[in-house]
Amino acid sequence: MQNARALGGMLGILVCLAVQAEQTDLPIVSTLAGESAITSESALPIKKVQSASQHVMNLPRAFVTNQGSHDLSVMDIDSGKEIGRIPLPESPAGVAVDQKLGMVFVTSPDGRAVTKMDAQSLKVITTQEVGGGPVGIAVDSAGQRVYVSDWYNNQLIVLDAKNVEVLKRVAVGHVPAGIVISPDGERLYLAERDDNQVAVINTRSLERIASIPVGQHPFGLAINASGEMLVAVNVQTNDVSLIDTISLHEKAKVSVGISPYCAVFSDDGRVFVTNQHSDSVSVIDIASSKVIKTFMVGAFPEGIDIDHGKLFVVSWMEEELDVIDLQTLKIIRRIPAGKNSRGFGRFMWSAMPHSN
Amino acid sequence: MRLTQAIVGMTTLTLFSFLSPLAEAHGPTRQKVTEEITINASPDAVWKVVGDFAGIANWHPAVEKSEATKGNEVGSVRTLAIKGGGKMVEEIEGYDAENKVIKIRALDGGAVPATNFSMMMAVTAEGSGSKITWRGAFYRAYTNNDPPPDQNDEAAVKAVTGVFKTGLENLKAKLEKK
Repeated sequence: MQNARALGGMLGILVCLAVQAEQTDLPIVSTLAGESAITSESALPIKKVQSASQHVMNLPRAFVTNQGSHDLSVMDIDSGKEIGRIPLPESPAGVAVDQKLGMVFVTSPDGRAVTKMDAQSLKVITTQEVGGGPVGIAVDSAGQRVYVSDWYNNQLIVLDAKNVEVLKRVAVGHVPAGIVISPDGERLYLAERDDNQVAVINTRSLERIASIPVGQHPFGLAINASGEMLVAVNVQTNDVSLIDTISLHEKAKVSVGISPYCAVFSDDGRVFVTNQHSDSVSVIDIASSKVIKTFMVGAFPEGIDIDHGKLFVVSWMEEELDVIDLQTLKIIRRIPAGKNSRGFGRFMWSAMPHSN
Repeated sequence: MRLTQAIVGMTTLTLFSFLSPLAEAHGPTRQKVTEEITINASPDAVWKVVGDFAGIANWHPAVEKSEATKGNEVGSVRTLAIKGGGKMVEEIEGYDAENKVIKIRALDGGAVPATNFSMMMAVTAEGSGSKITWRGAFYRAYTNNDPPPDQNDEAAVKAVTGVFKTGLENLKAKLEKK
């Protein structure tokens, strides 16, 4: 998954000639267009790509859960448009994208269900009731298993990624929330919100390796590309815990904005944290464990992801996806989403299915 | 008449105050309410009233008495005595006098069946007058699946809507009265 993401990032916008093979000139044009789309929208080559959008699939795509309208917004980042709206069971919140297979998995806490959708065709493949209150979700890099946190029943639900059938239910701590899986697929990290700790679970045995104390009410988690650093976002103590996954200890606590929620790593040693009540994103330099910048985004920012040199932040209050340039940290697009948009998880899809 | 009904509705909600659990626990679906009203008064004049954190009793018809610990400073805590009984305790999370925005978090939202209740009030220019936006984000009172009707999402939204509407309508009436 990491490789696929990195590749996607290097190439800029990938174009999939899904239908019409004769338009062979398009990939080159749109590779350029991907980087310049924001500043030169009127340039001819881009228009050509957009007019051919029925036949050409631009990447990346965002899949934003709308908890208030009970659906999923599918957004084409290149054109800045919502290209699909998929109805889902009640109150969808968590989302995870299988980069390799091009599959989207979504939790619906009030619908008590998990849905699997094809990221390309946008067809729902299956919806399975899992009970309780499924919230956090992650898919392993092999695309074999999906893990879901059940907020109400204090369990980790292990599903097979193919049919979304429950393989196992593992008892965990109180009010489990965010989930991340190590890049090598060996470990799962789970925020046990009301226990103020992160559970470290062996994905083969599904046994707990360790419990790492963090700040109060950890919600979102993030892991870096090497898997050596983990971040837990502590909502109540307004800070994040930087965790060394080798020693399994908290290396530092960094104060951020008010009611922080989710985080994501960039490849250049930064962590980006959404602050719900401050309407901002804090940028942390990992080497110094310091906040180096804070910038405003749409109110009540929640889900955050990174892709193709851009940062993506879901604003719950403004109901939009903010697209942010990673270097200038300026909002370059605001793409309208559905009601009460959340995007809790890794919601960006950056690689073509079956790409090498 | 609608106003009276809403006030009555709100005060009866204080009955539920004992049901409100600690602000920490909540269900997984946050709700929001946004209410706006235009007022025929300058933004400065409106902000003078709205931006006075301790002074909500001067304009909100459901608030009997209000006092704040540190005026309009971030971290100042105000305690509201609700007409008909009950109280609310709220803290300033953000205060931007220049842009006329105040952010408040309920520490004890006893008077409404909601948890993790935060709100924002903003005053902007609108024509020759002002517009006030009051919006809130919160979870229902019941923190598990299958809430009883008086503690579900709808009950929380209804209660908060009532609080915002009655407040803004009364504020408008007060400020437009010469």
